[in-house]
Amino acid sequence: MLASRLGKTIKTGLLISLLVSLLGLFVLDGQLTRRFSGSKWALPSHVYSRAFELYEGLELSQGALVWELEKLGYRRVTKVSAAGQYSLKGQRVDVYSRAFQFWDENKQAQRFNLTFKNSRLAGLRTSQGKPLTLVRLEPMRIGGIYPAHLEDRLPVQLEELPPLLVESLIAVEDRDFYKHYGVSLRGISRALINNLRPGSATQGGSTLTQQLVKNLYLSKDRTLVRKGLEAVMALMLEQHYSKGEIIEAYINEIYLGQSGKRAIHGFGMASQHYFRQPLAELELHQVALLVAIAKGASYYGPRRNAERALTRRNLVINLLASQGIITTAVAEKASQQALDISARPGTRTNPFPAYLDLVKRQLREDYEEDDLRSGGLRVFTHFDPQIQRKLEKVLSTKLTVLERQKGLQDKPLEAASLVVGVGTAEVLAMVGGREADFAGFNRALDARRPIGSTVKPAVYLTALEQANHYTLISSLSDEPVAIPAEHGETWRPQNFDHKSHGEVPLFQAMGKSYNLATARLGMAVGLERVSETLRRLGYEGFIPKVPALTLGAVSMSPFDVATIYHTIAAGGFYSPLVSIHSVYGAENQPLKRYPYRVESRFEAGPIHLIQYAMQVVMREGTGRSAYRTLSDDVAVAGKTGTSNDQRDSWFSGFGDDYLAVVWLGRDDNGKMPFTGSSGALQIWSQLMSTLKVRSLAFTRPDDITYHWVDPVQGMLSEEGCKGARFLPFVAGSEPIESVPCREKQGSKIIDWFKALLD
Amino acid sequence: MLAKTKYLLIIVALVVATSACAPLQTSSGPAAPVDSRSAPASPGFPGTAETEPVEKTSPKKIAPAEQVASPAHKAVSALLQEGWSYYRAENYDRSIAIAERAQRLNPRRAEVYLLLAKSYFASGQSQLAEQLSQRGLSFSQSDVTIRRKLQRLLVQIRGAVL
Repeated sequence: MLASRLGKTIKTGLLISLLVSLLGLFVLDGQLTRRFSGSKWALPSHVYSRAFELYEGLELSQGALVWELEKLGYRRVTKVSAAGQYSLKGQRVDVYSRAFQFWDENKQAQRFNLTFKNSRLAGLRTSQGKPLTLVRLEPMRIGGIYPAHLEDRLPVQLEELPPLLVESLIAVEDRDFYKHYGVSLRGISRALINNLRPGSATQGGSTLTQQLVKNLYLSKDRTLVRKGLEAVMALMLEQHYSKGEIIEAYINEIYLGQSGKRAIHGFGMASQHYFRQPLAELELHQVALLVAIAKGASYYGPRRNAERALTRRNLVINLLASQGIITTAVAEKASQQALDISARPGTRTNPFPAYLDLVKRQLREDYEEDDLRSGGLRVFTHFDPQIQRKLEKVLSTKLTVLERQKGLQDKPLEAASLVVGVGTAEVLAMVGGREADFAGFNRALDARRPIGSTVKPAVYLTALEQANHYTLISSLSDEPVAIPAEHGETWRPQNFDHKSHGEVPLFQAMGKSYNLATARLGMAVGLERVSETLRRLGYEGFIPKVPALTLGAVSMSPFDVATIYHTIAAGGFYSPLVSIHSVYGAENQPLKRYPYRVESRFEAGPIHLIQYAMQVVMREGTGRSAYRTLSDDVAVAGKTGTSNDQRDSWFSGFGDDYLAVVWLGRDDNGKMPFTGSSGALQIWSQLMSTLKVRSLAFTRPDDITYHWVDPVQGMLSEEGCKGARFLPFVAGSEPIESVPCREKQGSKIIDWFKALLD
Repeated sequence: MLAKTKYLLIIVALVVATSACAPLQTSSGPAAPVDSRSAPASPGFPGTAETEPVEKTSPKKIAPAEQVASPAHKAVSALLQEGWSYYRAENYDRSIAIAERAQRLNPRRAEVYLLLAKSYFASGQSQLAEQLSQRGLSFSQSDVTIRRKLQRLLVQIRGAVL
């Protein structure tokens, strides 16, 4: 009776525990498949640069092209035979470009030749010699947005693997991979013995499947329970998935190195990290190195332990030969290769922090933080690495020179700058502080500082829009002025030289940046109108409507200034400045495009006039030292800006193709021995000269007429007359009366010529 | 002998004169303006303002310029051709993407904006199409055909909006 009862209890107990175990297995199985079938990892989003467009006539030196190719991880060879290679012969470069899925085209790998002449791309042909109109290189990866645990990964599929990768992994890590069901009994027993033995930490012999299970699902501690669970799960995984699926997951999961805080996972990212090349392009000795590293990424890390890594790499190669997978001759040749890794990691975590910051902010308007950090998005931007490189170089060298001039080595300045494509409103490059690769306070976006005379184009534009009241030769008074300000105070602006300049024509007041004349003009047109102009130019921040606004008592970031100057550069058409071209999902499906937007905000006439006045600044006014650096036949337009007590030094301006804003100052808002002209302008002109900015395309709009006038008299004059100047007017606003012509003494050539002919 | 020297001088003078005028030939103004530095207005302003001292050389005059041919002309033409074929096939996403690629190579090519405006108009974005037509018109001075097409499109857009 008792026995039967006991038996019943045992039976029930067994049944229950069996049920519980089954339930447990069921739950486990569900978890296993859910994780494996869905997206296995939180995939970082990858951010790419613009694609480099090549066409005949493009201003491009051979050196700059080679730089781009090297950055893209192209290998220099004597004769190109595969994608990702280039060769150099005198003025000629042969390229075998990679295939790339562009937003508007699926581009195949392509062989072509380029010839250079005088820093221009003179010839672009196929390898058969047929002329090519336009070729683009694939964009460069410039950074990522990482999951919280900072795992960086570039997933690859089995079809994209280089030859022998799978074979090498199996040969080295799990020779019976294709035979076992997830667990190798030999391996388990060895691991058991090893782990029971005190002081022994490593266990070998677990299968690739077990390793994958361990990395994907289990904690790091090595207990027997975990080992058992690992075995059970490995068996289950093999039940559900093919060997191909398992090895692919392994290849994408495994930890293969460290770059600062960022963990390099998977062979795809490791290939970029160690060789700067796509995985598919790797040769045997490179594949073998990655397989060697898989054993222990820090112990065999080739950048720190070159010797050890090389020994293990050759061990991998020899193992392949001994198993008959490669011939001894091939093994011999591969073993003799150097480690072949790139000098610096091919993937820096965040080499261009300021630009990436801008990209992230613009992305956050459309995406959740989670999607950015784990959705594996591919983000294509307008970032131009060639321009960024030049901007960083000019900024750091020029800053040092400027500081040395004033003995400021101990109190270094801060700086920020950005370059925008005129017309497209694309932000091409950005620096947020003097240490361009230091991710910290992004001054280009966040340092909102008084802009000083940088505001003046807005004041003068407001006036010039009223063609019946103001022209470029309108006479302005530069006499001292007292303007009632807030709280019963009186504002008495001063000129920089503390002098008054009497009556001055409008374009001169702008060119020489006279404060008294500008304050009077600003008050005459009205603060409401001036602030309205700033809004129409594209500024969305706070505008204090106080008299000092007319001299720049409004705080903006360099990005804000670039926005409003771009509207002037683009003929009065406002476009929001953009950094992102398009966003693609992890499966390469198009998610969002960021198209070009434009809005007409100003008539072409007044914009032509203000551009004229901004050229006066450069040729005759506060910006004229730019032409110590810039070539005389490059027309540029711009404006200096200096805030009170020289706490901020600004320069903002543009040519035909590029617009740049440079700000210098101190984070503690301290004084500097620099004005906009002696500080920021020096960097700006060096930058524009390095970028080979094209001369302003200063075409005359239909409603603008040019006349010879005497600006002082405010009357029409004639060519060759004393004091005559050729100036643009909105048709109908030109003076009617003429001054009698006094011949100018300056018309020497003509006189001399006459004398010769007589 | 004297005649010969005179002759030589004339040649030299001609060379000097042409080289001095060379940059002026791009001017669309009625005549070549003289250097403004010799105008009495300039010396009348002693103020150095906030500037570094600069050698007193005559600044180059500021004058309107003709549109210069873009080195990307051929490449842009090829893209436009491709873009128009997508436009005709009513694949506006594609024609817009290609037009933007062309715009990046030469943002002053009026036809780029015609293709953009027509593509947006056809896909129902009249407001942007109108702005783009205006942008195109601002670059169309030297291209009468495109200018007419842009004007016609603008009339069409405004008619459709009304």
